[in-house]
Amino acid sequence: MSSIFVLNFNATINNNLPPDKRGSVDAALLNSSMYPLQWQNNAFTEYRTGATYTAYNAGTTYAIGTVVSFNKAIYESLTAGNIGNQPDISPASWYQRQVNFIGADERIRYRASKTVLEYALNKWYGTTFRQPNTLSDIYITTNTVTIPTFLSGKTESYSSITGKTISSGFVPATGSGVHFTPVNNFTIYFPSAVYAAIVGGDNTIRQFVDKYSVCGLVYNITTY
Amino acid sequence: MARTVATIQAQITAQYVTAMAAIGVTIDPTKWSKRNIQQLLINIAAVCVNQYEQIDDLYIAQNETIVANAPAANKAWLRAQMFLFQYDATTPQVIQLNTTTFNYYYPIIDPTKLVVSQCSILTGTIRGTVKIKLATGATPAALSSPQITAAQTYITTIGDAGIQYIVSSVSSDKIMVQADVYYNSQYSSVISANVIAAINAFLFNQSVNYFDAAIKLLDLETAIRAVTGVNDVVLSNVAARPDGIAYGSGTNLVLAYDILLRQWLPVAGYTISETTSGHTLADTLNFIAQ
Repeated sequence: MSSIFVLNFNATINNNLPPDKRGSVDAALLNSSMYPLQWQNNAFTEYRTGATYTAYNAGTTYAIGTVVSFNKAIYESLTAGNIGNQPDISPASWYQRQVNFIGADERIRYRASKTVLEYALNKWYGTTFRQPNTLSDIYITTNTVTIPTFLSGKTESYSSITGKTISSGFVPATGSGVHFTPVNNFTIYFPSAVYAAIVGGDNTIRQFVDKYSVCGLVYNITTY
Repeated sequence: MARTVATIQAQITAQYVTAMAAIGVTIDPTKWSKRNIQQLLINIAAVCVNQYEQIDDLYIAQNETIVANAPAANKAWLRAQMFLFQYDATTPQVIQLNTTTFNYYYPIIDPTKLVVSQCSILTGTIRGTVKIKLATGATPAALSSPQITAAQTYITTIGDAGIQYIVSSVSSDKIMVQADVYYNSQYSSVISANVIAAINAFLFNQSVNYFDAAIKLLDLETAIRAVTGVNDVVLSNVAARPDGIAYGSGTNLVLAYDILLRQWLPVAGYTISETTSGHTLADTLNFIAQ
């Protein structure tokens, strides 16, 4: 889809030159001079809208200018016969064109809203988002928040109440007498196979979720 | 902000003069003819750069607008969303996410399915909880059980992950207003109906004026005094109660012209005028012509 942000400098140059100068050496020089600006506009478009490229493969030989995705970022090959050079650690062989394969136009709209966060997670991990009333591959449930009960005694019948002002029984530090249930405000569910493939597991996921979730809330990540 | 083509052209020209001087060539742009090819090429380059700077401006403006309008899931946003809640007993109304704008929408927007007319929003006493109290209809009444369930699902879907939204809807609180209303006698034929309508409108709008739908005596007096023809008002007795409390056992805000409480925070999240026979507005307002 065409966008107001997409520029074509070749057309601009051509339209501003007298007819007899179009296709001339002067036009060629000007087009070449403006090529970096065109390249920058193309990269800017990619930054806005995001891009999907074939994943980098260590066994493939890449030509100069070939673009791949690696670790959610986009890289462009700087050399011919480029093989075995991991993009993120080979700056002589690869130029990082985008740090994120998701476009800024989309990322700027991500927020803590449950369904939006579900969409963002599924996009990030390449799984399927589904509209409300149907579970997405990665989905979220908001948990019922209750005041944790602190009981001394194994069951309610044999428990003592411990409160701010009263303590009708001692509280054992260990063993089955203490029941304390921590509460997570929400839970994120991952398909087991997807979770297993995530390098860094929970920590990696939290790096993403923490950018959008409400500060002060706690959550857990589980698989199904 | 994008510079003009002339400004950019002047900058490129100055740079060109300097660069050429460094290699011993003197350039004097003031002597360029109108058909000078260098001038033309620089002008076209300036047009290209100007275009680029213009889209920079557009992109910045677009993003600033998005940031400024970003939903914060604050009380105002929540209330606005609840007023957009659609319900149909036979055709499920499922909210959708627009994956381009990331706004929520109903595939078919049907004003006849907007059921929420009153909405108060309160921060819960337990961390991470929000109480949402709703009512429906022009004469506010409690939502049905299926409506409450649907509203709960709706706000949980669009609200922030981890925030527990507790939707409730119960019968209205009632407020008895006994007052001496001093009015211009030329309005005698309409004053009663207009003051009653003004009080009912005032009560109806409190969930929009305050997130907790508080009924403040000062606001009540102001609403009555705003009626055309009213000169003054003195509240003599004002008592409010939740629906479950019988008339006479409620809370006195004004008792025998003495102000005891300045406001009433409705348990239901909305308040209507007293409905007990003999204590409605038609019974309790005392109109005094002047």
